[in-house]
Parts: sequence; C-alpha cells; structure tokens
Amino acid sequence: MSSEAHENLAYNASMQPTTAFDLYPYSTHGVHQRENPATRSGARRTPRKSLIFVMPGDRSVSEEFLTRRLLAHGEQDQVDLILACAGEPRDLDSIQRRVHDLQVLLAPAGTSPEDLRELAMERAPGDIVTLMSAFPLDSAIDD
Amino acid sequence: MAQSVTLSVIVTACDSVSTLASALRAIRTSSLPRDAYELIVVDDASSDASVFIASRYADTVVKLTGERCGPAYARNRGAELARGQLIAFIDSDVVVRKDTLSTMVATLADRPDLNAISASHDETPGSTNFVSLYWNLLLRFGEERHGAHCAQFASGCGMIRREAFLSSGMFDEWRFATGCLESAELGVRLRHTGNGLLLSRDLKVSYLTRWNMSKVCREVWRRSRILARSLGYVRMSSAVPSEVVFTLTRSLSPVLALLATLTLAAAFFPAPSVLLKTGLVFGGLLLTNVPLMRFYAETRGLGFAIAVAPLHSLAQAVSMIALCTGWVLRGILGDPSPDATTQAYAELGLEMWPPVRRRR
Repeated sequence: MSSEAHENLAYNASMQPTTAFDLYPYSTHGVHQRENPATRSGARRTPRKSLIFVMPGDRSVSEEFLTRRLLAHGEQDQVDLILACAGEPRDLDSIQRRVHDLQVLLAPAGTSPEDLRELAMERAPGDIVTLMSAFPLDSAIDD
Repeated sequence: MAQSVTLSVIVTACDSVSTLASALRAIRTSSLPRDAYELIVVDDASSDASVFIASRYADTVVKLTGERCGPAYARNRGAELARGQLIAFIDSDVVVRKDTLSTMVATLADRPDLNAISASHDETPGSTNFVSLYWNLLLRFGEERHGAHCAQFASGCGMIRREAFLSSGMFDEWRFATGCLESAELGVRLRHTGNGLLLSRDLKVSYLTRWNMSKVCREVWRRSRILARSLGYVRMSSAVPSEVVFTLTRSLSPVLALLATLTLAAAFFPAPSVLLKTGLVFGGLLLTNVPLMRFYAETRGLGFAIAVAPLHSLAQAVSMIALCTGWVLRGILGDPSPDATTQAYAELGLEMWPPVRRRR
C-alpha cells in the first residue's frame, strides 16, 4: 500500500486496527457477506469466480454505463461482483438496486488504483479473480 | 482489457513476495501495447502476500489452494484460462527487458517455422553475490555454447504458440511436482512432434533469485537426480545440451579416467604420493573445464575464474553423486509418480477445484 494511502488512514484513529485490511477506513455496501463454499466444504467441482471493478476517484462514469458493465459481466457466469471505489460514486444506491449481490468497497478519495485492487482482492472469495477498470479504457488508468 | 488479445502472459508465483513485484512491473512497463496482452498470475498456494502483489498488476489472479503442485501444474492452469494465440511463461523471479516480449512476438510472427522462442540468462543477475554470479554465468555458458542446437524451452521466459502448446500435451504436471526440468522435457516433446524451437542468445532476461552454496547444491542435486531417474541422461544430453547438469558433468569422464589410471598405477608403485595424486586429479579437472573457466575469466576477470574453481568442483561432485542416486532409484523404484490418493482421484476422473494433477 502506498504511503499516501497510509497517510489518509491517519485520521481514523478510533478503528483500532488488527489487520492490514482493517487499517483502511473502508466500508462495504454489500447486500450480505456470502459464505465461501471453499472454506465450508474444502472442495468444489468448479472454481469460484470473482470480478473486481476498480474505480479510481479521479474520473467519473455515468451510473447507466457502470450498471450495464457490471450486469454484462455478472450475467455471463456465476461470479461475485465487487466494485472498489476511491471515494463514494454518485448514485451508488441506484447501482446497487439494479445490480443484485454487488459488493461495494469504499476507500478514501485519492486511493491509487493499485491499492484499490489490493484491498478488493482481500474481499474477493473467488479462486479465479479478474480485475478490471470500471472504465472502458482501463489501460490508461491501470498503467 | 480488449476482448481479443494476441498474447497471454502467465506468471506463476509461490512465496515470491521478494521478486514478484519487480517481475510484474517489468512486464507492465514493456513496450508491448497494454491492450495487446493479458497478464495472468497463478499463485501456487503461497503462504505470503504474493496474491496481493499480483492483484496490483494482473488482469487475472488464479488462487490455487491446498497442496502445492509445482510450476508445471500452475502454468497449465494459467494456460487453460489464456485467450491469446501466443502464450508467454515468465517466472516470478525474472525481469524482462522493455523489448523482450515485443521482440518475441515479432520473431514468431516473422518465422512461421518457429513455434516457441525462449530468452536466455543475461550476464548481470539481480543478486550480485559471488554464488549468484557463478550460477547465473554457469547457466549462461550452457546457453551460449549449445543454445543454437538444443530443444530447450526456457520457462523462465519463453513464448509458445497456443496450438503447439496444447497439441504437445502442455507441461507434464504428473511427473514434475517441483520446478525442475519440466521445461526441458516439454522442449524435447515439442521437438519430437516437429515444432521449431529457438533459444535466443540475444534475447536476455535478468534473474533475481539470490543463490547461496547450499541452494546451488540442492538445485544441482535435484536436477541431476531427476534427469537420471526420469528423463534419461543420454537422450537428454543430445536433445538439450545446454542444460546445466551437462555443463557440470560433461567434463567428468576424462577426470574419472585419470582417477582410474592413477588408482591402477598405485598398484605398481609401492609408496605413491597422495599429494601428487590429488594434485593430478584436480589439475585434470581444471583442464577439462578450461572453456568454462575462460568464459568466467572473460566475463568477470581471472580472479573470479580462479575463485570459482573450488565451488565448481563441489557442484560437479554433487551432480555426479546425484546422477548415480537417480540411476539407482530408477532401477529400484522406477519413474516417480504422485502419491496414491492423487493417482486414485486421477483414475476416477473426479471433477474438482483445484483439479487433480493430470496424467499426460
């Protein structure tokens, strides 16, 4: 995690963190934390898949576009959808209403895309985790 | 990420926290356009933070859990997800140069006769301690001397056409549960099925692993033992002469002949000087290693070449003993195979995740 990200954490002294993830003043807006079958039964027939959308705070995207993108991937397969945002996006409630089972990870504005990815990975239960930008030109952001 | 990519880069990691970030950063900063490739990291049940480092750079992270099954298994799992027509395998301790991947792609595009291309070790490894320099240059020597004629597919940094990889049966995850010679074996198989391979001496990559004496001895022991037990020394020596075990043991035959002559001579001389005999054997050993020592002297100086001689003799001795052990084990136990449970699961064809190691 970058030093800037750590500096952003400093204000939240009341959290009494115990792990690296807890250090972060994130909040999850998931409908519910689903139980991971991997830890329940130890083995599965097929791999569990997670899809992480990373949305850095320096760009905005329309609710319609983001919802379409999430739904397109969510409907393809049985995947856990996670939206990791730096700062709270506009119309978050509306997105969550339209995309069922979407887990939202909110990090402070200014968190780098790499830190967002790392934070989201800690929440991803999948065996195969795909990381994408919420924007169409992900290379410009991720690089 | 574009829907169709030319290349899938697969990096396998296993407790690679010290080198993985550098390896992935080098791939991401390569001159290849970002939308031309996908980056897949397969984590082989690491107990450190490799998965989180991978998530900072990769497009897809595959988390294998439970028992570690080795890089051959992990690479195969990555290849199953790959969408590119070309697949590049890069180890988690390898730093590619800016133009390595683009040159490999261009070479395979220009030469339809080639199905796989590999990069070789450069002269300056990431760790510059004495043993790392010795080991890195030892590998480099084999690649420079025999690279042009060998069927080596270097999985440290190698690119292969997807069709050729799949049709050859992928890596042999059944026999190679640890990272050792599985890429050499794949290279031989590719060559036998008519695929063209190139181990390029001009394409160089840097290896970051820090070696010490015990690590070198263990690596030499493993490679030599597996070579003798599973692959066959003679068959591999003609197919993959650049393999480090052959660099170590090729010169041992004349030394053993000298030793035998001295032993025989001792029968006729009642009081032979032990010092003289030892000196003769070591002298013979050095003479048979002249090309290698010259290479060390040219690359790092005469002092380095002299200092390396005892370490090299030790590695040669370890390799020789390991080869003999491998031959004996092959005679008694045969080719190694996975444990009984894995074999039983494989026999049943049980569908599960992570999948049971597959017999080729």
